[in-house]
Amino acid sequence: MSCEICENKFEKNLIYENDKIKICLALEPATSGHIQLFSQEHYPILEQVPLPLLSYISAAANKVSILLFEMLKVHGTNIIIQNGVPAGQNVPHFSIHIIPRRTDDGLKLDWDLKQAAPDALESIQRIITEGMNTLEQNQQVPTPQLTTETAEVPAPAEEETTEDKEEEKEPDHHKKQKKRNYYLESLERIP
Amino acid sequence: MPEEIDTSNMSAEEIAELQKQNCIFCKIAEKQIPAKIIHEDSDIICVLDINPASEGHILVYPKKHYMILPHIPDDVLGKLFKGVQLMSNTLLKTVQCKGTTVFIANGAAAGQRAPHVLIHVFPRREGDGLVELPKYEMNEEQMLKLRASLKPYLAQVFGAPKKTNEKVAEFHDVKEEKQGIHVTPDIAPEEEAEEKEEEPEQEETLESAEEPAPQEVKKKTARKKTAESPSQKTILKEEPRRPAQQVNLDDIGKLFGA
Repeated sequence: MSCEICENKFEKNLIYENDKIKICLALEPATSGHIQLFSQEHYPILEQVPLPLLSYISAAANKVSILLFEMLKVHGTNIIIQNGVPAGQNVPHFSIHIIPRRTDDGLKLDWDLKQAAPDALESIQRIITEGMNTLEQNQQVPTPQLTTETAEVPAPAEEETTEDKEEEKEPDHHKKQKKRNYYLESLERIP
Repeated sequence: MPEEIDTSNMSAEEIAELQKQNCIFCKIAEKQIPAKIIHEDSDIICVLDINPASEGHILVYPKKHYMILPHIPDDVLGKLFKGVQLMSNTLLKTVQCKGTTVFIANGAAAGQRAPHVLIHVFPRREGDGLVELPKYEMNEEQMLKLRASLKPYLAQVFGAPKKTNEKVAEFHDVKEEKQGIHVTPDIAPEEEAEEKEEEPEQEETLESAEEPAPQEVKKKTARKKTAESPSQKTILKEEPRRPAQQVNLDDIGKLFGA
C-alpha cells in the first residue's frame, strides 16, 4: 500500500516529527498557519488509531494549538478531524487539522444553528443507543471498512426507522443567539 | 438562560464560579437539565446536540467545567478522544453516513459559543456542504517563515525530533539559505518573522507570561537547531521538555476576547 504521508512525499511541509507524530504545514491550508498533525504509523481513519496513541495525539494537538496562540497571535483555533472522504479527508492517513482563526478572517467553518424537533432527537437517540448495545454484544464486528479511496461503509444498521430516512436536518439556530456573548465578555475581564 | 447579572464589580474567580453555576452543559452532566444522553462515564458525557449540524450530531464533553481547551489536562483530553472515537465508530455503524467530522471550536473567533469545552462529532454525507475548508494560497516565503517560527518551539514541546529527520532539516536549511534568509546569524529567520508578525503591545503580553522571555528561548533553540554537529545534538536531546503548564493560560484567555 502506498501512502504519500508514510513515504514523506510532503517533505517541504514537514516541520517536526518524532516516533509518534508528524507535524506538517497543511497540505491544503485553509488559513495562514494551518497545521496538520499525522500519526507516524499508518492508520487510514480515526477508528483504527489505538487509544494510547490517540490520547498522545489529542494532547499534541492541544499543545500545537496553544503554540499557535502564542506564536502567531491568533484569536482562536479550530481542531478538526475529517474522517472519511465525504467529510473532506484529503489523504488516506489519519490526521488532525489545527486551523488558526482570527476574528476578521471571514471564514465560516461552523454550521447555522437550527433546533431539532424533540421527537427526531428521541428517535435518533434510540437508534444510536440500540446500535451501541448491539455492537457491545458482538464485539467481533469489524471496524468499518472506510477506506479513504472508496469511502465505502458496510451496510448501515438494519433498523432504519422512518425517522432515519427523513431528509437531513438543516443546521439550526441556537436559541441563545444573543449578541451579548457571556463567554467573550467575561474573558475580556480576566486580568 | 441566565438572567442579566451585573459582572462589573466581580473578580475573575467570581465570574468563573458564576459561569459554572449557569453552565447549561454542567447542568446536563448533573442531570438537572434533561438531555438525550448517548454514553457517559465518570469523566465524560456524550449527548445529542439539540442544534444538530446533521442528524446524529453528538457533543462529547468533560463533566468538569473547563472553559477553554488549553485548560484541559492531557489525561482528560485522552478520555475525551476515547469517547470521540467510540462515538464516531458508533455513528458510522448505526446512522446512515459515510464519514464523520470531529470539530472543536477553540475561542470565540473560531466559533465557540458556550463557556464549556465541547467536542462535536457528527455524521457526514456526500455533498452535505458542512465544514468546507477554504483554500488559502501560501507562497514559499510564507511557508519558510512559518516553519522557522514554529520549528524550535515544537522541538521544545515534544522533545528532540526523530533522528531520521536530520536529512529533512538539512534540506530545509539549504533551502532557507537559497531564499536569501541567512541562517548563519542563527536567530535571523525567527526575528525577521517576529518583527513582521507581532505588534509591540502583544509582545508585552508574552513577556509577562511566566516563562523565559521568548527572544532568549529562540536564540538558544535556534542555535541548537541549525547546528548539526554531533556534540550539539546531544545537548538538544537533554533539553527538558517544556511542560504545557508553563503556558500562561490567562494570556491565552485574553487572546480569546481580543
